[in-house]
Amino acid sequence: MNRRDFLQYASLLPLAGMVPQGFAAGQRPEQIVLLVELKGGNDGLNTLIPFRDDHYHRARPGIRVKNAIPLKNDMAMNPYLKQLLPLWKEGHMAWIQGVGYANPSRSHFHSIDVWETASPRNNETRGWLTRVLPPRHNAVNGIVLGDNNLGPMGGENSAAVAMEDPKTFLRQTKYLNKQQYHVSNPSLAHMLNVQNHINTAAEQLVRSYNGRNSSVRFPNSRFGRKLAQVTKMIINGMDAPVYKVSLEGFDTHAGQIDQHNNLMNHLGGGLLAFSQAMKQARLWNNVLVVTYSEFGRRAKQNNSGGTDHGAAAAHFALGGRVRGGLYGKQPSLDPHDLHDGDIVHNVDFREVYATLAQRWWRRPNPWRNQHRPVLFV
Amino acid sequence: MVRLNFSDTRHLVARTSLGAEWGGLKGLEGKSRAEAVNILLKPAPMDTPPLPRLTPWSNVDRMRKKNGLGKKRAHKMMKDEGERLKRWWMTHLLHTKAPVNEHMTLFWHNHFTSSLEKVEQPKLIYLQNQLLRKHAIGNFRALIHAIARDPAMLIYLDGSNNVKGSPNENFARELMELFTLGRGHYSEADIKAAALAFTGWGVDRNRGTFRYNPAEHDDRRISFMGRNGSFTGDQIIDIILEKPRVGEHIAEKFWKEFVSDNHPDPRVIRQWGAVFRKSNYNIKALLSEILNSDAFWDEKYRGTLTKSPIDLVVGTLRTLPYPKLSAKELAHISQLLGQDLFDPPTVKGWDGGKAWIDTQTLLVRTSLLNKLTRHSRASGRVQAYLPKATGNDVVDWLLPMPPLLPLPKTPGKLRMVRALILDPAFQLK
Repeated sequence: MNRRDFLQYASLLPLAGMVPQGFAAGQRPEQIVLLVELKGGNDGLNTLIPFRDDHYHRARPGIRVKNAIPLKNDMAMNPYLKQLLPLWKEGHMAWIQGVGYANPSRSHFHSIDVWETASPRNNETRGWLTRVLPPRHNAVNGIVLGDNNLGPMGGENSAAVAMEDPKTFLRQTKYLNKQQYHVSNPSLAHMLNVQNHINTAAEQLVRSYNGRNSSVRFPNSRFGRKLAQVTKMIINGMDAPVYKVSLEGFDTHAGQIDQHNNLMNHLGGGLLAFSQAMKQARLWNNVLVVTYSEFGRRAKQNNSGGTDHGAAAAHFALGGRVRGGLYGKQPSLDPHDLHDGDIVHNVDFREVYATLAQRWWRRPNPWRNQHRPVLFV
Repeated sequence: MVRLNFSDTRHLVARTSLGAEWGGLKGLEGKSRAEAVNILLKPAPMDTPPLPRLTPWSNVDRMRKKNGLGKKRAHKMMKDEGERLKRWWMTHLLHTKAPVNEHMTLFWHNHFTSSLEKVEQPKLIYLQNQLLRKHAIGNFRALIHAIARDPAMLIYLDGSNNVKGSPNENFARELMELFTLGRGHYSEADIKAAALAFTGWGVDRNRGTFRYNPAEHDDRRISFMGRNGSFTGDQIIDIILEKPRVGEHIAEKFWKEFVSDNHPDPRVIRQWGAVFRKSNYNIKALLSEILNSDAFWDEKYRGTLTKSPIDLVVGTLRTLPYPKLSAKELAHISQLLGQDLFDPPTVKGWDGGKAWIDTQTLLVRTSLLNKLTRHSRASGRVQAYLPKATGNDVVDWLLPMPPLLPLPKTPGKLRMVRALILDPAFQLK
């Protein structure tokens, strides 16, 4: 019976001194990131549009965006993102152009893995955020809403929780036992540590679940509801530096115009409401919204009025501390410059991650000199 | 001679089989280690359930080459058939009469990985699975020669794109890094040379068979691991198998699978590797050596391995007659638990061990076990199945260590078994 040690979880104390500022457990972090995954591969070229480039119009006679909103340097924004225009004008929206990686994969599963584990060789199973953020006892590092996949926060030593929604999660966690034990069996210790993370998240969630709602109205869509839930957690002081939501349906192989416009509208409307709620709670300077997607789409439209899996694409960041503008160089659409029909990336996606690590959280950049931050924040 | 007590039999069976039926354990109680291992490794019928209908690739190919819509439909069809194949394997795992062989089939699936996601053709993945099953406790030399010409593997590791003038090193690299030697025991030049030797090995996709095209084979003289000549792929494999390191590499993987997450003692690995090599890579000989070793039975390693999703899902249902969930639901649960059969996450397969447990999977594990052990129409059946035994025997049967949580105070066999299954210790083996 020697394994049955009913001691309190003692390992908590020595670690407490090592926790950096802003990562103390129990209170809302000063720097929060909201990741928005555009599932299916967003057509970057119809999101941030090189509207004065003849190559663009020639490659996409049937699906080119005609009434794009000019932003700067011959680049324009999809008109269905117009709800984000005020943020651009305030200087709180940054576009990072041509984000991707070398030898891109055109497989959804493989490429999203590359993005979320930040390993193009596919030899890493830990998410990139699991590596950037130190694991904490009695606190979670992130919450994934509407998905059972931890994605960028997965893998060994992950301190994140995934849930369809807070209500379902709280129902599931009630089966978990709440005692904490000190055990010498390493597999058992790991399991109990994970259990502790879940219980911590649940405890805090109950608080925010019973807390107040923002008075801002969110669009009545799956995406809008998830953003409303994130908002509720943030304004009620949930201790989590990362939230992740996703918007689905970007795999636009056929008849893409209406489908893509509709998605842009959801994206813009949801994030506008989120920005308003954060501003109202005086937290707009504490949040950073960043989009990502497994890949962009082929430069040329296909024969079904859609686009096939491609490579690099533009992404954007929003937040009160964001330095608005265009970053990176828009990749050339000249057919001679395309690689196998795809635009070639100018910004490695890990440069965006390095920005979050180093400039937003003031954490070490895991890629050091290999991938330097982009100065959008 | 050491005679196995009841707890020993659980240790042996839980780590090598799929679940641990009461009767099976009782049959091994009191035997010597060697006797018990012999019984366990005795051949058993490996018949698999009827295969779901899988559309011939030529039809699929015609469909996807037609137009965009056809391509989309073909993709959907392959995805659906892939899901059916996963259910097929799940059904077999639940019902097979050769659980040790099946445990090893799953082990080799995690060693010679291939995924539906990349290969796309469920039929080829099925053929690979049958190949792994056939050799699961057979001969590793035969297995690796067969895997090198397995159509699914040739697609998964791009061997079919490896042709004269345009070599693809993917298979050659993994052959040495993952399948046989491990990192640090070959050079980049060896990879380049081996890739040339395998040029011309490809797949007839319509027939789903191996095809050697001499016109695509680059037969120039190469230097491989200190040997010079014009080699075939088979000769490359045989040269690799001469290295003592191969036996040790496989022994290390077996250590992790059967003994512990901790680093092994190098002396133990050298010994097991030598036994394996001397037996001409007889997998049964290696298994038998390990299962008879003091390391395997060492108290300090008992109950330190985390059950894989298949151990948990299939093992529990093979151990106790709880309501059988549909194969579809089980395949889905296994996927949620991080072990999506036929779709390992990377070419290295599942990390396993502690990595099986994260915040997401622990909740699914707990919910599943709660659901299974809840009072239901099946409770009477479970009650009737439970042996007349002492509480200690039941603990020894279901857990590798004393329960962490207090046991229920109200008596009742069902309640007791439910408490043991919901105990954190049940997640270990």
